[in-house]
Amino acid sequence: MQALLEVFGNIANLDLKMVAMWIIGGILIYLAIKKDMEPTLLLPIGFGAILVNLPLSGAVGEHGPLTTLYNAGIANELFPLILFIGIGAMIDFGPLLSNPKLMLFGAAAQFGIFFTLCTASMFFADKDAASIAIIGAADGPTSIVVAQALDSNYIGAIMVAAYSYMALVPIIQPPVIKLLTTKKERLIRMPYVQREVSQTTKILFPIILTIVAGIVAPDSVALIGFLMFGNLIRECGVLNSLSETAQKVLANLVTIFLGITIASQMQADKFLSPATLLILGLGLVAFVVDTAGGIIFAKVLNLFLKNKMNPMIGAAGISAFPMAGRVVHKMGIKEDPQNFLLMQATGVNVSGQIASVIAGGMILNFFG
Amino acid sequence: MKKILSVLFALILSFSLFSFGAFAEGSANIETTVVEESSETVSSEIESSEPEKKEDAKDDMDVDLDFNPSGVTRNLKYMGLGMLGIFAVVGVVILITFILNSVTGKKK
Repeated sequence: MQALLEVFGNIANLDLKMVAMWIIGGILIYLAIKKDMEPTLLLPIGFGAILVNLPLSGAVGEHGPLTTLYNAGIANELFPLILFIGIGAMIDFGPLLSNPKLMLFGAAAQFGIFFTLCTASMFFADKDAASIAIIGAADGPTSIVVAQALDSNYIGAIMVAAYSYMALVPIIQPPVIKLLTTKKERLIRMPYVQREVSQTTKILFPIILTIVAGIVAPDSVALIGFLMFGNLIRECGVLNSLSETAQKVLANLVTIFLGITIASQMQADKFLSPATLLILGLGLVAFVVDTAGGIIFAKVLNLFLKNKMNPMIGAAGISAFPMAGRVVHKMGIKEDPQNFLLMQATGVNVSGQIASVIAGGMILNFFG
Repeated sequence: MKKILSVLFALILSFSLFSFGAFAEGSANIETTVVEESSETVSSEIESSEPEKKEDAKDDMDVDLDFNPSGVTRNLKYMGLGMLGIFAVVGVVILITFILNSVTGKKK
């Protein structure tokens, strides 16, 4: 009996909040596996949430491996920046470079970040409000870098919200798009004019963008620089093996560490609070207003354009690549099977990636 | 439809767990305050009847969520500057891209 008590004595340290976190971890794992929602991140986050919420867990604490990984890669923002190299190597800027005006939609779709900043500042300190607002960037690495740089108290909730909502884009966006557009607007066709983009343009674009964004928002140099470095590796044509490695091995490796380390911020006493619920709500507001911002910008532009644009492509301006572009394309096909919006939507989606990083740099400039 | 319903169900369940956790946190804090009061001297008991504010909010997520509408007006200028900055950068990039395309590109 004494031996049994010694073996299972740790159960006395268990509390209901830990069990609640196990269930939340289980839900994230379920969404990742059964519903295929961002499994690369939700599964490690879900499992990590269980790991760190076991009583007297050896995974966290002063010498815990998750604490060590957190200090090594998230506290200094290294993991998300390295992941950006992989993301940059995956992105093809061709559709955007063939029609650069599409970048305006990516810029407009960042409105949700600043709207959420104003809303969140009613409840949180400015630095925390800014960290919460960046969920609207719909970009995990940017959210982590900004929240960490601003030393937010709510990094765990922000990370979970950012990645969860990125996975929920196909569910969040369509109702917002339908609410803000008429049937006639959704039927507007946008014939794609293929313009060949030279290799020189594709090579110079990441370099020039880094210089311009870096001068305007110096705090964004790391974010934009690593993203564009990855893209330069892809486009230069002489580093195919590095490009392959960055896109696959590097991205997957960092994703594994990032996912499970994020969970170290999901300890029950830190995570289960009214503030976390509010952050999840504000994150949703950010995504919805982002989508709305892009669509409304397109509708305003149409007032002045002879060849109208389908306002749905404005919704693709959030950084959730490539999901947002695919959502818009699918909605276009559903309305009119002959209306192919994929290239334009992809171009806008890619521009959203760039604009979200610039927005992150702006936020760091203002509050860093 | 089934997928949306199951995802919504999962989210509602998560929110319920959060609410439960927040309620449990609140109850634990009330109990903690009661235990602390009973162990203090008379003068300390009077002082400890005021809610304790933890300095390090990272260790204790029982942070007061004060409603402060002035935050909106305070941050409106950042909204304006931020959007202006993003459009300015994007505008310059569009211009440079047009120049690059016209110098090096071909149209089919």
